[in-house]
Amino acid sequence: MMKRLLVWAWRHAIPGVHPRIEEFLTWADGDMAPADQAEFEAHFAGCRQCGDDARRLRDARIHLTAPGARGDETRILQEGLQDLEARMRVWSAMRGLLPDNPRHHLARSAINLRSARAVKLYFGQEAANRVTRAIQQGPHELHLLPAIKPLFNAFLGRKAADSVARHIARTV
Amino acid sequence: MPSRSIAAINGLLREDAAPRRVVGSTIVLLLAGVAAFGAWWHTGNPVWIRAYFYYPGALFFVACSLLEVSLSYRCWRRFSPGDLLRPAWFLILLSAVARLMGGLVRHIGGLETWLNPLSYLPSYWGHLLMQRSFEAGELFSPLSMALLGIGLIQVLRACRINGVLGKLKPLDAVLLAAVTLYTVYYFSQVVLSPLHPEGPVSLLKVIGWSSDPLLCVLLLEALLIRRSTANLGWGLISRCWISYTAAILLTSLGDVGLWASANGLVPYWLEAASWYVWFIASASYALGPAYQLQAMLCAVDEARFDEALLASAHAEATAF
Repeated sequence: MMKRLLVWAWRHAIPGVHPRIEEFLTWADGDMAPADQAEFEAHFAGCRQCGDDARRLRDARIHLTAPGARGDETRILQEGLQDLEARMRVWSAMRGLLPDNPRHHLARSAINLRSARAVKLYFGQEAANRVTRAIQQGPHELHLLPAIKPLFNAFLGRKAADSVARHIARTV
Repeated sequence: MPSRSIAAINGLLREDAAPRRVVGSTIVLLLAGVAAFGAWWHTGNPVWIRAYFYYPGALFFVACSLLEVSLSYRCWRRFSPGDLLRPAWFLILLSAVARLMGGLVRHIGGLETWLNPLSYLPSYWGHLLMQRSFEAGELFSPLSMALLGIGLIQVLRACRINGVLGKLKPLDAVLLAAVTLYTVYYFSQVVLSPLHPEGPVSLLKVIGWSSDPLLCVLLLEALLIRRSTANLGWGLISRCWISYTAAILLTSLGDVGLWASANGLVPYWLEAASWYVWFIASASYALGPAYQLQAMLCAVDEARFDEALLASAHAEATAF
């Protein structure tokens, strides 16, 4: 009932109410009914942010389903596992479960350095120290950005968190 | 020099300058309050202090609540459906609307001032409506607290999910115990007393009594959020929730101050100081969404984000 009300609201009643992520995914997959698709695309006319998001999602989808991308499946899986490992470490570090590392060296990669600075800007110095500590524990330096994204998603919202991630990655 | 002034004005007019504007206007109001108190003390004429609380004071409460409504609405709109804190910000928005309604009904409609349209009515009707308006204003306080309390539960959930939920410290337990004891004492002396020292029991009074237990729950949530954010540092998002914590703590302090002064338990200077606590509490409520919006605006604007990150890196380098 609530879901239907929201769908009706973003289509007809309130221009500020945006489509849900499920609608974006259905549109990017090309599974949307023509009538719904026309209404969905009509929303882009008044909402540049949604239009950009939808196009980015579709481009990513095309990239992943392209014939050459099949061979990348193992690499994507490996990256996914590494991201999961990084998230688990960051989560443990935020809870104070990781021991303090006396060797206080900064993150080696530029993206990780910027990620730690973004955490400091939004959450504070101690939070930045903890995420830096999380990447120091393993044998190799983990990618911090996907690991800190859920924290930003929760407190800033997914759209603003996506922007933060883009700014961190783009300017390196 | 004029270009510097123009730059300063432009800086204050920026959308993300709301925290600076709130802090600045609170300082100005408090300084005016000290001056009004001094004039009253020196001349013995209460018109100074009355004029201060009835005009700039009442307008400040309403302006802060109005700003809080506007900023929380913008914060809520920037969260997408399905985001963890979107329902929390919707409840915070409703809580701010209830606080604004309470401010309008109680501080504008309930006082005999030039600002009150009811004061221009014939004497009998004017006074009756003002009295009713002042009493009705009490309804909005528990409503606003209940909505904020439910919203803060969502924030605590977000903290727990992300592994940043802190634990209460002994000092927090002492503070919480003090406010709970005060509530229990108030209930035993006033609410549950067969003598009913506050007069006949009415629906308005019963709703008003729920404020103190709600404040205990809010204080517990605020202290947990304070411990969680204090564990992280002093970032933009942490500042938002620290502001809400400060607002709730100051509301508790103001509430206890009112009760203590009504019972003659505090010296006069401390009683006078407790009046001003409400202004800081009101400003802190407005500061919460102001910091959240600042964080969100910084996130979407690449230039601002880079500027903030550079400033952070520069501060790090200076510290070394």
